[in-house]
Amino acid sequence: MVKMKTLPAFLMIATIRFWFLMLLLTMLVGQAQAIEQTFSYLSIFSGSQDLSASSGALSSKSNYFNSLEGEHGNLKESRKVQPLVVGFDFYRASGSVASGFGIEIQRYKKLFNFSDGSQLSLEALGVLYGFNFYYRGDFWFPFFGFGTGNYTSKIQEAFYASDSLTESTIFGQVDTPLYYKLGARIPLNSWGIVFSQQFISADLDVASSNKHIALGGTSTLFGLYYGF
Amino acid sequence: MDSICLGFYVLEKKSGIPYEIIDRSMKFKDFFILFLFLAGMGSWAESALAKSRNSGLGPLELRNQYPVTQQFLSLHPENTATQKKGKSRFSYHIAVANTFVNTQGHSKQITSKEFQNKISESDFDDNDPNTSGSDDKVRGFSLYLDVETTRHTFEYRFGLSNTFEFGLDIPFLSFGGGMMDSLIESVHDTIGVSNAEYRGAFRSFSEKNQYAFYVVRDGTFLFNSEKSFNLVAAEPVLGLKWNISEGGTVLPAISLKLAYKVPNSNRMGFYKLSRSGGGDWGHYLILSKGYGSWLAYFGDGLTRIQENHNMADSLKHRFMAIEYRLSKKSSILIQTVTQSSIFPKTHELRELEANQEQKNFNLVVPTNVFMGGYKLEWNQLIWEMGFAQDYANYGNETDFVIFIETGMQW
Repeated sequence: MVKMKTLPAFLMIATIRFWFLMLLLTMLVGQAQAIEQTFSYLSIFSGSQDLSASSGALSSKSNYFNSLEGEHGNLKESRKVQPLVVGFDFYRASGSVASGFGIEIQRYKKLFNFSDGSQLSLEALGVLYGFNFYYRGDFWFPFFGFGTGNYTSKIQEAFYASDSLTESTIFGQVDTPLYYKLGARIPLNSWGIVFSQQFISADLDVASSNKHIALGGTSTLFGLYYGF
Repeated sequence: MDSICLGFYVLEKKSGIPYEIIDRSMKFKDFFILFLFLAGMGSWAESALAKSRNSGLGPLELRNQYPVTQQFLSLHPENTATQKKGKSRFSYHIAVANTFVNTQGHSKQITSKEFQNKISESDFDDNDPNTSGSDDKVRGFSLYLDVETTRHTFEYRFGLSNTFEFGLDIPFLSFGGGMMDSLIESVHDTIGVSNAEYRGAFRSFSEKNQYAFYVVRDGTFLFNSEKSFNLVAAEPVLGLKWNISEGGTVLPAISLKLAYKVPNSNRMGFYKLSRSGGGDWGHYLILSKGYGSWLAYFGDGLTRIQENHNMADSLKHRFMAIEYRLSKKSSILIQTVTQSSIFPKTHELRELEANQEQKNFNLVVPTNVFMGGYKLEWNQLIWEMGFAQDYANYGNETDFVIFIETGMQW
C-alpha cells in the first residue's frame, strides 16, 4: 500500500500497459489453442562429451583423474569421450509452442593411458529422462530440456606402483544425475537434423579410492531424427 | 500487480537502494521483458498442455522379484489415479523370475561338481595363494543363487473416497529350479553372450533348472538352502493411496502411496526365505503427466525394513514409465525401475588387489531393470502382461521376469 501512495503515476501507466499486453497475448493464445497436435521423435546422436568440462550451472566435485595424475603422471589423452545416444521424445504442440517428455540412452567407453604406463578403462551407460520445451518455428524447432535419470559404470584400473601392477574393477551407479540441454531440430519432411549441447552433473563415487569421477560434463551432439 | 511490485521493493530494500531510485530505473522495457516472460510461460503451458489427461492405465505394477528381497516389503510403481468412491477392484498377479548369481564363477570355485558334493562355507573363501586361514574369509557378501521364484498375489483395491484408496495384497511364494534356464542360455547364445563368462553369469558351470540358495556374509552362511518350496503364504501388505491432485494444464497429477507389511513371526525352515517377521513400511510419491496419447510417470519412494536379518535396513525406489494409449481401453508401456541394493555396504574397499572381495563389491550397487508390457481394461475386466530385464548385471537383481495380472473391477 505504501508504494501505491508514492508512485501512483507509474502504477497507472503500468496497469494500462499490463492490460493491453494481456489482451494482446490472450488473443494470440486463443488462436494458438485452436490447433493441437502430438508429435514423437526417434533420434540418434553422436559427438563429443568432455568429462573434464564444467556441467554448466550444475555442480560437480570430480577429483578422481586429478588424483591419478598426481600418482601416475599426466594423461596421454584428453578426457573427451564419444557417446552414442538414442533418444525418444514426445510432445504436445499448440500453435508454435510445445512441451513434452523425452528419454535418452547414452553409452560410451574409453581407454585412458598415464605416463607411467598405468591404464584406466571407463565404460558408462546413462539413461536420462525429463521435460522438453519447444518453439516450433518455420524452419527450425529450438528446444530446452531438463531432467534426471541414472548412470551405471564399469571402471577397470591397471596401475603401476613400485614395480608391481595392481588391477581392479569397480562397478558403480549414479542415482540422481541432473541435466539440462539446449538445442534445435531442423525438419526435412519426416526426417530431420538435430544438434544439442547438454550439461550433465553425474559424479560417481569410485569405491577403490573414495574419489569422485564425473560421468557427465558437457556434451555437444549432432544427429538425425525421424518424426511421426 | 501488487505482488510484482512488491517483489521489486523487497528485493532492492535488502540491498539498501532507496525506493525512488528503483522506480525510476524500472523502465518499461525491463517490465515488458519480465511480463512477457511470465505471461509467455503461462500462456505456453496453458495452450500447449490444454485438455491433456494426466493419468492413463498406469505403469506396470511389478515389485522387486529378487529372491533375497522377496521376504521384505518392496513398493512398486503405480498409477496416480485411485479407485473412485465405493468402487472395487480384485485381481490375481503372477510373476515368474529367474535369477542366477555365482560370485565364485571367476575362480570356478563353485560348479556343478561342488553342488553335488554339498556346498560349504569354504567354497566362498578367497583362493588367493598369498593368503591362508582366516585371511581367506571374504569380507562383505558372496552368493550362489540358482533360483526361479513364482510370486502369486491376490490384490484388492477399494475407493474410500474419490481420492483415497485402500489396498490389500495377499502373496504366496514358490522357490524352485524352474524351467527358464534353457531359454535364457539360448538367448545369451543367440546374442553372442557366453554363458561361461561374467556377462552370462557363469551359467554354464551349473546344471540347468537346479535350485540353490546360498547367501554368505563375511565368510559365514546367512541363508543356505537347497530345499524348494511351493505356494507358501508370505506376509500380507496393507496400502493407502491418496490422489493429492489430478493435475491440470501445467501441473502433473500427484499421488502418495503408503504401505505396511503385516509381520508374521513364524520363520521356521523355508519360511525364513518368504517372511521377514518385521513390520516393514514404505511410501511412494508418484507423478504423472499426459501429452495427448502419451503419458509420462515418475516415482520416488522408500521402504523401511524393520527386521533386516543382516541385510539393508531400507530400500530406495525410483521409476520412470512411458505409456502410449492405443485406445481408451489399452496401452503399451516401457519403464525403468531403480532400487538400492538389498546388500548393505559393510566396509570401505581400500585395497586394490584383484581378489574375491573386490569382485563381489558390485553387489552393493543399486539395481536397474527395464520393463515392457501391455495393459487392457475391457468393460469390467482388466489384463496386464509384461517382462522385466536386468540391464546392469551386478548380481543383485533378478535376471528376467515375466508377469501377468488379471481381474475385474466394479
